[in-house]
Amino acid sequence: MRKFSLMLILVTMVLSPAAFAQATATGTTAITVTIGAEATISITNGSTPLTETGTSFTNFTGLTNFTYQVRTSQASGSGSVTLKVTSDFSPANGPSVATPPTAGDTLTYTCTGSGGSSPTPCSSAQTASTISSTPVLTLATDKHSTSPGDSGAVNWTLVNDPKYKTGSYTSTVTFTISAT
Amino acid sequence: MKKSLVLLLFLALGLAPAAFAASTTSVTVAVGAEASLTVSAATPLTEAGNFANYTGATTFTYLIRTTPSTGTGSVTLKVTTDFAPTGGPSVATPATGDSLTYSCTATGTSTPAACSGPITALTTAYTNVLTVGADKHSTLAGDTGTVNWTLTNDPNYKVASYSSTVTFTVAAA
Repeated sequence: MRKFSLMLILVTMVLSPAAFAQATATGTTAITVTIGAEATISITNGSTPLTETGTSFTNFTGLTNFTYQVRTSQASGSGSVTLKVTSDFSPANGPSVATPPTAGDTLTYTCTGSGGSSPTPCSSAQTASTISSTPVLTLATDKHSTSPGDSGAVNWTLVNDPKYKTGSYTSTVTFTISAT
Repeated sequence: MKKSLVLLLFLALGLAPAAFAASTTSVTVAVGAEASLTVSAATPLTEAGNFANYTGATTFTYLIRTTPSTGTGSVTLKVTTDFAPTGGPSVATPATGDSLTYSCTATGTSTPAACSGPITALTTAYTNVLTVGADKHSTLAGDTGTVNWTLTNDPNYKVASYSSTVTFTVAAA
């Protein structure tokens, strides 16, 4: 009987800690995120009508607004917004960026930009091209837009050449933003 | 020969009760509510596109047993080490509108009720991942759960890699 009791106690002692061990337990995970330079752009007005303010061959003018988000690297980072006329005016016999009817019939623009990324807009009037991208604004190292996005605008001027046949003409301009 | 066979039979009859007699022990086990947890060690957050939010998933398995009638169980989490280095995301002091949020899924015989989300993770308190009711039991291999993370992709974060630690706790009563 004494041996039986001793054995029972031992069995109980061995089992109890296991039975009641750890009503709670923990584990951990390391959440890692690599944040790189990146950029995105949104043209506010999908259509940019050019209009003239008078009837005496004043140039056609218009405005394209855009917002952009950007993050440039701390070490030698940079960013830019450029544009290119990816589809020339059509139909024919009107204005043309690639082959204007008269030398000097240009589509030019000036730029503005503002926001947390401290953009530097193009400093002078730029002539749009179908061949190469032209500058809209540049960004320096370690620059960051606001979360909703910084803003910019391109103010267009199209020469009003009497040679243009009357009609409605459309071209496509592609804006590109990049960040390193 | 006949005599010896009878003698052997008597011996066998006489010995048999003694051969099966034994003292007994009562083996008892007190089975209590308990729980354990295994969490995937690394949870990389990635983005699907420029300035899309960073997302990722943490998977975990848990073993659990809750008490009949009044028992409960839960898995919770807490950001025990905020993102480092500075200049990037922060759970404790996020920029306006920034957050680390999560939603949950869970399955198994413990019939867990997973958080619906999005829940904002905190450095100051544990937040819910799942709960289980009374008298619930996972499989021996463990029931499974997933926390799906979303981190705001704020342009203001400096370009770098950032890491934080999240502690998961399972409790059973």
